[in-house]
Amino acid sequence: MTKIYDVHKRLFLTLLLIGIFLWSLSSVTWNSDLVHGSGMDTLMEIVTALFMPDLSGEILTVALESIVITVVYAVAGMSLALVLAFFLGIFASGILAETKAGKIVSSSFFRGILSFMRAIHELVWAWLFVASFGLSPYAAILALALPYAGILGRIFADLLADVPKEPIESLKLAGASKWQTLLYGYLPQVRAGILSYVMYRFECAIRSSAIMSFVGLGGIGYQIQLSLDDLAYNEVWTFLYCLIAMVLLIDLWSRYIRHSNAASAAKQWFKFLIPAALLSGSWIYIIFVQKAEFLSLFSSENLLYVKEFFSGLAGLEEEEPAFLSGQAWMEALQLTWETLKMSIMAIGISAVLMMITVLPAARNIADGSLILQKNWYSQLLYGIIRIIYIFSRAIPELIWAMMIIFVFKPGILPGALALALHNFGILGKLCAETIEDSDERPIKNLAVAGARKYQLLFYGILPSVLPKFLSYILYRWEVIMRTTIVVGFVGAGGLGQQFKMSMSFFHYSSITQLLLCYIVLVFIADAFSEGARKAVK
Amino acid sequence: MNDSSIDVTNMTVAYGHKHALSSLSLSIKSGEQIALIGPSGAGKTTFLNSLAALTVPSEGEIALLGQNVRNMKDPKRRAKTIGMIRQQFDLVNELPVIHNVLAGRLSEWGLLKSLLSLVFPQEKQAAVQALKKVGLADKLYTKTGLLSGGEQQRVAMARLLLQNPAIILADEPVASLDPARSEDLLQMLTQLAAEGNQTLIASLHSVDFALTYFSRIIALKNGKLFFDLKSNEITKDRLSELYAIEEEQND
Repeated sequence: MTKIYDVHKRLFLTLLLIGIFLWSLSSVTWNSDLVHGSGMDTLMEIVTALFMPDLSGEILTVALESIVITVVYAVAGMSLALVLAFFLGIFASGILAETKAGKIVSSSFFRGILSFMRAIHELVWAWLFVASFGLSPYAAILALALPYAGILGRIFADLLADVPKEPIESLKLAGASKWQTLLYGYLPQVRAGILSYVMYRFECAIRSSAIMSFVGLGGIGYQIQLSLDDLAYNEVWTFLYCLIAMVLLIDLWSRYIRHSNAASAAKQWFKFLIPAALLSGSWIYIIFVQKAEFLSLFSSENLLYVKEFFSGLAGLEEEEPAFLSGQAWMEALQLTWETLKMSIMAIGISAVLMMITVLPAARNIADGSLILQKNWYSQLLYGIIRIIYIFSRAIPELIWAMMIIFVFKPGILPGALALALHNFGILGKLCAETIEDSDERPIKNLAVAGARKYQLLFYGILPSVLPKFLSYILYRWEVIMRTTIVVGFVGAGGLGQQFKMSMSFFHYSSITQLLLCYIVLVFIADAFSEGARKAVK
Repeated sequence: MNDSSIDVTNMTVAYGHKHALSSLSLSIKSGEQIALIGPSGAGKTTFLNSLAALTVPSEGEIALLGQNVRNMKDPKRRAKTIGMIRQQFDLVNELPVIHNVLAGRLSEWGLLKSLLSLVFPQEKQAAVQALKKVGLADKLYTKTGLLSGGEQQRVAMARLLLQNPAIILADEPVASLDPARSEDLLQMLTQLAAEGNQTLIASLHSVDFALTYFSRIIALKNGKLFFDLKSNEITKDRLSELYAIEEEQND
């Protein structure tokens, strides 16, 4: 029995996950009541506007100004996150600890801090910061920095812990101290890995910065919101094209960094110049153009706000705090349950969309090099799907949600759709790259042996890439879990919707309660996903 | 003045029930060059690791230059006493050659100097000198990972030159090199150790290399000293006895 389980455990896990997805779909009542009366017309308008963005000088100027702010906040937030992640990551990896016990204590303590920082979505952090010290650019910057430091720090710690040990031991034998082994052994070995991850995170930071506007902090998201309120969809698309362009630019930059062998000194300097210019430019803009004073955050007035806010969260200001009421707990748990279903539905939809499109989206399948045959349309299909992927991932979940809510009535379906739309592009890109990087020899061998296209698929390609796909899907599910709260803000159901409502009514103890449920949910999702990923390895 | 370099008394290293080394005693004079031979699993690596204080013996004592290894906590003193070269995985591939060589000076540098050196290499002349001696002067700024196996071993030797320990331990230094490059490296290693009047112990798979380059041969078998002879005293019979495959002894 255990043998059967071992052989087929991937299959069992897949079937289990498909079953859970189907069950989540059954929780929606599928009828025309899901869509607004004029929903379909609105959808048509949005789609038409996609091909007719407003390119008037006025709108383009606004777009340019707001994209600058978006980038500035993203760069500033990332720079803080990097500093935090550097130190927290080193301590979380435990490599500097002298004893085994010290290592366990240091790594579990700092890993705990990191996972708390990243468990809370950047927009929720932003909301907390705005509520405690007002609409300062630093609210946006810190809100970006904390969760990003949490994610980067964890990856950094994992990379440090997995470094080949021989060179480190050898440095120690040469008399190097702990700090010297860090400088000469650990850091050089993780440099390439962490660099490409930082670039990917920078792309995410642009998107996160764009939605900071949702709590009133400038940037391109604010313009998108204004245009959506005016139902000016062609303006919306102008702004979205700007966002897409930014994402593409970063993609190019990151590819340049990864693939250029910096042989010449000029290239080295150039590599150094871009980040230096971005960094100094952003901080100068914040300090001198926006005149944001960091120290003024700590004024006595703000201290009072913070005190009030936190005593509110602790329920000291209310006669009956929500977390003492059984009724409120029942409602919160109901919402948690719905949020869980929303996340499952979202990852299910994006996984299905990804599976349908991923094969033609892999370059080595499109140009026929992997399966030794190609059709006239395969290159065209490749291009179209890749463009769809870019659109899908460049637009943040929250903005998808803001558009979808014009078509669908509030509930968990629009939330799930918004999350699915964004994650489908990311999954597609990751999985297509997996196919592109897979070992071609066994597949070519099958092709030479006369296997047909679908046989190649089932005997050659899928077995080698599916475990990786599954682990990407589980990983994205973790991310979706964190983001469910955000799409809820615009009325797409779940904990987020209630969270925003409580914020508007200054129902602070209820916010604490919802945050508690949310964090527990995120931790459970993380633990489940990590366990499942280990099982498929 | 005691000119004994290494004194091992009754050393036993046990992993659980299994004895990797059992009550080994030997003494090595300063400046001697010794080859350590024996079949796989005889305890050669364990022996060298114990001398380098990477493995702590469960019984017995090791004295290096008259000091007990257990008391040698100060990294600088340890680096000056003992240096090690192993198979080619010991270098940081991502760093340019010069930094891997300068790592031999880390025990003498503070944090600030080591940080600065990553941008503006310090004591560059010493590194250039060492690389010249091993014939790699032109590879100063090459990424170490791009070098061949033999070149990487020579970089490791250049590092040892800068570290300049009294005792050099070489654990299978030529295991992954072809015969020509192995000869080259052993030639260089023994010559440099002789020039610096350093004690050298190298574990080797090839008996031929051991007999060619070393004057004293120590053979280990099943964690015990099998013989300890001058290379001209070794007979064919002793060698075939050493490498004979025996039935597993159950005790």
